[in-house]
Amino acid sequence: MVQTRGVQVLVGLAIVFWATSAGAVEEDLVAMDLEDLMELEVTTATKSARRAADTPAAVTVITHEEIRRSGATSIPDLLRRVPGLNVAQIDANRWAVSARGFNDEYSNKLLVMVDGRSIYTPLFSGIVWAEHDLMLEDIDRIEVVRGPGGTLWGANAVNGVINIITKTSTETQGLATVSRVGTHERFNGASRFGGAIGDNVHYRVYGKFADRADYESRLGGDAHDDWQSVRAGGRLDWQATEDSLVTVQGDFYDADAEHTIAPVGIEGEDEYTGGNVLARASHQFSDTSDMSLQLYYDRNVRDTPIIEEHRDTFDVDFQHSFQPFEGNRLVWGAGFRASTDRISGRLGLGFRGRAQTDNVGSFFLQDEIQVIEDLLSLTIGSKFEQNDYSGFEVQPSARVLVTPNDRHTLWASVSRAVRTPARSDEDVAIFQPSTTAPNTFQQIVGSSRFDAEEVIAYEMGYRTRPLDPVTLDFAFFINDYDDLRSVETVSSFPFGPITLQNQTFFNRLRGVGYGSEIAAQWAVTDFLNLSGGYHFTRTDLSFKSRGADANARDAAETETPRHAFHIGTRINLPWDFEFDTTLFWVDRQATNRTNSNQIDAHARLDMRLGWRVRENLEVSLVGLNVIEPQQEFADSVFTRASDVPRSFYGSVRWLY
Amino acid sequence: MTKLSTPLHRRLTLAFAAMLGLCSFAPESRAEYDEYKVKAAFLLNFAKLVTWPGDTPAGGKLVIGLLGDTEGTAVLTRALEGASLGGTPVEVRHLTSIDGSADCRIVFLARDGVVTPESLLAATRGGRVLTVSEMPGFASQGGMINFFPDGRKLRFEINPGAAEREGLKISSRLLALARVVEEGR
Repeated sequence: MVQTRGVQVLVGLAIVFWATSAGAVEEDLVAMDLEDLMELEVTTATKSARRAADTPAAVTVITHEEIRRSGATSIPDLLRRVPGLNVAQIDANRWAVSARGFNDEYSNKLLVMVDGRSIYTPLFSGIVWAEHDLMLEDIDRIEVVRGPGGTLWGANAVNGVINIITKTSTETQGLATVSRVGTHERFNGASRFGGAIGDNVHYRVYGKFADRADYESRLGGDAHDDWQSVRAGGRLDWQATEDSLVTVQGDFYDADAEHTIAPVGIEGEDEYTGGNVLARASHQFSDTSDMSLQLYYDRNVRDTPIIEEHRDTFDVDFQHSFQPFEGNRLVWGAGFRASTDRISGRLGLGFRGRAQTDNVGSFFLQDEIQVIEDLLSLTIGSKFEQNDYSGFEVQPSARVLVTPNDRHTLWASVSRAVRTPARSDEDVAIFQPSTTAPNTFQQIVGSSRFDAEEVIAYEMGYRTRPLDPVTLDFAFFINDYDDLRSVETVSSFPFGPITLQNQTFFNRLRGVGYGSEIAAQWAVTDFLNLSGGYHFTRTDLSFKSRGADANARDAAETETPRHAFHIGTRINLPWDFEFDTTLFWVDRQATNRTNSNQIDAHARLDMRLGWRVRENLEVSLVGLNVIEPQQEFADSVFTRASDVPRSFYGSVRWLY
Repeated sequence: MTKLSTPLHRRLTLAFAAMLGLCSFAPESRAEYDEYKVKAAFLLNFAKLVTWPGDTPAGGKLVIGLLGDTEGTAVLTRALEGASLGGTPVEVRHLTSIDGSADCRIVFLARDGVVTPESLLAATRGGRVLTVSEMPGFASQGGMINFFPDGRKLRFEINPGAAEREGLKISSRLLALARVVEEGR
């Protein structure tokens, strides 16, 4: 098989690079005298590992400190504070998360990774957030890139990439526990222990259990959406030499999430179980050259009232970056992924082909050129990807970065990205009452002729630090979409008062999305820090030849709020108290479904009072959505939306 | 589905051509070191050439606090972890706020630090802490040592008055290599 040979070549290359590096020993800087040190020429960190401020893309980084002080207990709730991301909670265990429009429970234009492992499902190209109830205390940062990231990360990174990066084992030594008890978080506890074996091997193991209560149904009573999750795992980092790091990590999870299925209101339970093992070896040849090889295996089982899915994914990625000439940094890489599934549909959902393996092979090359040192740089590159559905895909990008001085950064880019067809686009068979027309039943069948969805994005950004404590970040985008998915009626039959429609997927929508995002930070004084964000997003779609899916068009145009903002304050009080609030506001969202109501513009306020009793002991009281219970999202295709209640919890965090 | 719109395609081709042109004019590369690996080495040298009152550090460790969550402080951590100075092991502490900064022997405030120089200096006053930064003007605002770039090389300035106030003695060798500054300049 071609793919197997590809893997062999990769491993071979890796061994060659490893072998050639063995002879290169860097001088021990620490042993040098001051006089010698002063004669050394240095590269600034921006060239090897760049700061977010110098990236030619719309980037937001959620730091560990922001995670701690947010009071949020899930990844999607943390993402609310990123302008340009649309986050709405559907029920107690389900969220709709997207970037720059198209928000839905089954959003499919966003790529999410945890430590380099992709967590979007090849089933429908979206994320099942209840499977990823991570231990938030061990997350180092969350990097969010809005806009296409296809050149580096490949298909699915159409409107954004989220990288969740956990701390290394060296940063999580000792024993730590955190427990939360509250109205919705009935109990949420996690423990971690980090230790060392000799000088060069550090490890940690962790376990987490969370029991979350039901929300309230907007029809009254219990929403039947409670959520229990167990998660455990570990990570080992081996500093093999001063410049080589080997990381092995893995997790296991089991989550039970109650699910009320719209529109009929059938109650059931979704069970998600799975685990993963990842190994990564990285080597730094010099300050300008490094290489990494990563392999992972991921197993995932979903047993729900509508589907039973078993999935095994194997992925290998290789990346090498070096400096062929001064002022020129080349990064290239190759990867291969095989995902094997066994699927059976239930309750009106069927799948063609009970078992299938999908293969994706890819190669990318990106060059960053310092056109004028410390002033103008150009980054161009492309990803080349072969998949089983739409064949060969090219995802190029060109980016310009201008840094006149420390206080101003300007960037602009043009890039193309695709959302390749998912298993469900080709093989699904859904029988359901129409969500938009009364007395109508639909039979939607996947299509092998459904092709990749495309975007060509034009972006611009400006970051500035007008005063030392103030940073402002502006981004503007115009997305030119083509071949978006539409569900077209092929034939329809009247049976007395009832109509049966036969439908399938086509690529008959096109259009533009445009908008802007603003983020601001202001460290007013030592004890007061303000932050804020605002975004505006608008999508206008039109039919291509023979296209007529007004539902998909209207959903894209009206179901994502056009405006949203948030304002956060972090206050350090005397005696080691902290008081933090975040106010969120999102615009109204229309809905074109018969059985759902419009979501009005609404505000949400999260508050936290923390007290660092001792260096290693922190207690806090948190209120989430304290203003009023409210619905944040309309009914999804299979899910009845709940009212998000006010929730309160107390938490104790103990280190060592 | 691999069609590219022609203008974009043409633009990319032009960009590639421009890139090839630029590459051929690029000068040869020289040996360069990561800025923060070098700064780590500087920090250890500072510790060697500064005398604290009371001599041996409490707990038998040389505690270096890092303020700021940047790529630079990550490199510093890696470079300093496991290091020792004349038998005294170095302990690196990541400080998320000025709390705990007075318990360190040396505090390094990164360029994108979480606090302002003024608040760091207020928090360490009387704690006999060697304050080091890379923020322009740090030493003239009352900090002790500040890195600044000189072309591709690293230099540092020292405010001896600030060190004296905390009872720290800076060796003449260190002073000789530094640019000496006074407050308010």
